[in-house]
Amino acid sequence: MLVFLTRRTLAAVLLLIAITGLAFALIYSSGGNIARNILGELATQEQIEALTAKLGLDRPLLVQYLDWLGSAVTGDLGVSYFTATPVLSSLATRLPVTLSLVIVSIVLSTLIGVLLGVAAAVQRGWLDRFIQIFSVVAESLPNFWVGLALVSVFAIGLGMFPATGYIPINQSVSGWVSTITLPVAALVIGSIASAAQQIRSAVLDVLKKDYVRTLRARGLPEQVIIFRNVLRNAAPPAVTVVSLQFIGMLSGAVLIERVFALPGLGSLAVNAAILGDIPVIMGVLVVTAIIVVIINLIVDLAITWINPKARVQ
Amino acid sequence: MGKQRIRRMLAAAAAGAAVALVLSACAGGESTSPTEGSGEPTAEKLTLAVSLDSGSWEPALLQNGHQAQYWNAVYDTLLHMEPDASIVPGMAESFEYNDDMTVLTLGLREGITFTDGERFNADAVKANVENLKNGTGQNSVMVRSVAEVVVVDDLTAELHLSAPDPALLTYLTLAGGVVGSPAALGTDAITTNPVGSGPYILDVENSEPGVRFEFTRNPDYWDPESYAYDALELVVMPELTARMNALRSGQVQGITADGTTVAEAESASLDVYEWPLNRRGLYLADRDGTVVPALADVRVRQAINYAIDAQGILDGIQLGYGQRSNQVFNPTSVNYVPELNDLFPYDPEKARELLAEAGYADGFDVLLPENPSEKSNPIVQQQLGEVGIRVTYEKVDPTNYVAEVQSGRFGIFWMSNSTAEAWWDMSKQIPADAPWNPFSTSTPELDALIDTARGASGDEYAEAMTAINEYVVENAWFDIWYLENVIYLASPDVEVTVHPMNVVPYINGYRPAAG
Repeated sequence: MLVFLTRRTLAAVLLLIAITGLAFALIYSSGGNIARNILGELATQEQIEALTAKLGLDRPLLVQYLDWLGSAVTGDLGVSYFTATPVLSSLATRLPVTLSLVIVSIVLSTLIGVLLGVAAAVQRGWLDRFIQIFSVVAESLPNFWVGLALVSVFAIGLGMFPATGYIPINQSVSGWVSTITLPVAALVIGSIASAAQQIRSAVLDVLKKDYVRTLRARGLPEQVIIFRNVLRNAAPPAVTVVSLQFIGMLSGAVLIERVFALPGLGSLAVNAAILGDIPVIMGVLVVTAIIVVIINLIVDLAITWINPKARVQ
Repeated sequence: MGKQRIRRMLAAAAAGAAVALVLSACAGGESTSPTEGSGEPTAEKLTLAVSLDSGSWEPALLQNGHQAQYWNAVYDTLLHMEPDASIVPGMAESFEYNDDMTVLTLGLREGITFTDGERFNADAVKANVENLKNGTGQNSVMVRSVAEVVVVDDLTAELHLSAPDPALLTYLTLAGGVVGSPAALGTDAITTNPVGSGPYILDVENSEPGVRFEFTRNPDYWDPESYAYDALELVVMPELTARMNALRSGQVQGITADGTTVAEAESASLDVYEWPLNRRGLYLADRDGTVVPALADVRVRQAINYAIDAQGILDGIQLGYGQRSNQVFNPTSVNYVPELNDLFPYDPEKARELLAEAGYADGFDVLLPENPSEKSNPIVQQQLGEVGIRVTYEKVDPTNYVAEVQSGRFGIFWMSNSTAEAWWDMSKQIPADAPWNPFSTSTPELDALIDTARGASGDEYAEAMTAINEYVVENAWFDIWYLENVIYLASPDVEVTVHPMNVVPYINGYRPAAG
């Protein structure tokens, strides 16, 4: 296990270097005049050259990247070109918002998806058909459209929830719940459908196995067979799908954060991209890459725990 | 048995979700200032959504436009601008030019202190002007004409100018006239924590950069009657849909919007404010024919004006929220001439005649930068094509559009710029050294008009500026289509007075609605 973790960590580090290096090269070599964008349309050539030198943008690209990398490994991701706010500070306040949105969404979509998927696979009949139709409809609805519809009805129309904004859980639990209910609902509808379909297919597959028939023949209760044996064997592909959904939600959250004015990582990234605020863009990239690496590691460990056949010796 | 168990679990899950929904509804119904949970905005507090983040609070780096709402909450300016664009005292209670308009004497208001306890005096004015002039902010151009600030006495400062600057008084009402505490200027701290003498004080503890800013009334501000609210909250909301939803649900009381939201706003009984501010159209910048030889001929430039259906673009793309204009100046400017707008009606036939006269009966090719956010691109390409001018668009990085069009690579480019005071607008785009004159074109006649206007005042100034306007329109330096109306939406419980030269109202423009 230690060897496995060490290898994965080294691979993650190399991956981060590759991603950040490529992104750095793409952003800085796009031909943009960063200093002019910061100073505005009325800047003189002297001002542009002065700021370019001050920011170190006149150095070779590799030197700039190594300088950035050297600072990044010590936790210094620079400061925003436009707000002078340390990038790490912005990330620290924004990341919990996105994570709370995504984690709550993934937990809900997994729980509800598992229940619906198992029910559809076991019950069959009208419930199975309803869940399949629901899945098709839900997956085809863009989550930002769902979000807009929810705001229109529940926030503006009925006044049950705030239309925009975010209250951290440490300020008020009920406030936090109220501000993430509609955004989470917009995010999970498609994910529930997808999870339910995956679980349904996996459970149906496992139910056909000989050992399930053997377990039934031995007289084991059906719920024990379903939840201790069938689900456990159906879990690995579902866990993989859930991990992909988590990663997908990180990008899906961008639109939701804009619609609901949630101060998360996604809205930070969009604003930085529009302005050309490169330190912030790089910071968001690093954080997102780290999250993806961690998620993949957790998924691998979960699968080996669920399925002993996959365990590393 | 297993199926019954599953049914019970589904039922339990559904019941749990229903309970959670009810609890959430109970928790969520009260707050319309979602980040605080403090209840709906009241007459004591004004809550506005702003489409951009604050940026740095360093006075030398402040921005006009949307971000003005941030700094004019915490900083005061030497002079103030009234809704009719007239200029009145601010921190300077008197202001007077000498005879040749090269020395502006400011008599400063006594008793003003900054929030760090420093006194406002002539030394503070000197420190701020020099800080702005020597800084890297885009508003340093506002004090470029100031050669020296002389401290006459504690409450008298003289701005000695290298040349007359007719827009200086206007600049001193905007970011150019902001005065921060001299002890804080240039420090790292002031970039995140402003130290001014304005009507409000930033509540740093309850603010979150990039998200929301809370302000409390400054008890020492010299003109409290001009600011009706005791507290202010500015919420950062770049997305128009979110701003609209926040306004309609009562979370905020004012937002900047556009023409696409007016119908929704009116149906929701919101107040709609609009005023002409942004000119939009083509800059026919290469008037010497450096990269596009054809543009050196005034008949070609005039043909372009005739070829584009500006009214059609205003109606179709801008949904009619604007007014037809082919001038780079604001209708409130001393030199705006309504009759000039009739000079180039849409007439493709006339355009073809002019091109033939100029020797371009077969047309010519031209490369334009493609701004992906501008919807008129295909219209321009089509309508110029109909008269023989073959347009090819080159994709440019939208974050670098300004740098690209100012680089001198494109003889023609689309642009949208705000309008303000006449001299300011003129100096941004007409003289040879203007940032929006990338080919530095000029003529002796125009230079003479500019020199005349520079040293003039009163009627003489208005005449000279009018002559400049007529010159650039008749010689088709531009193909301006219209002045876009800025749209601002507000809750009916707030009365808004717009700022004549800014895209959003200043904070003193908000009052509780009567009745």
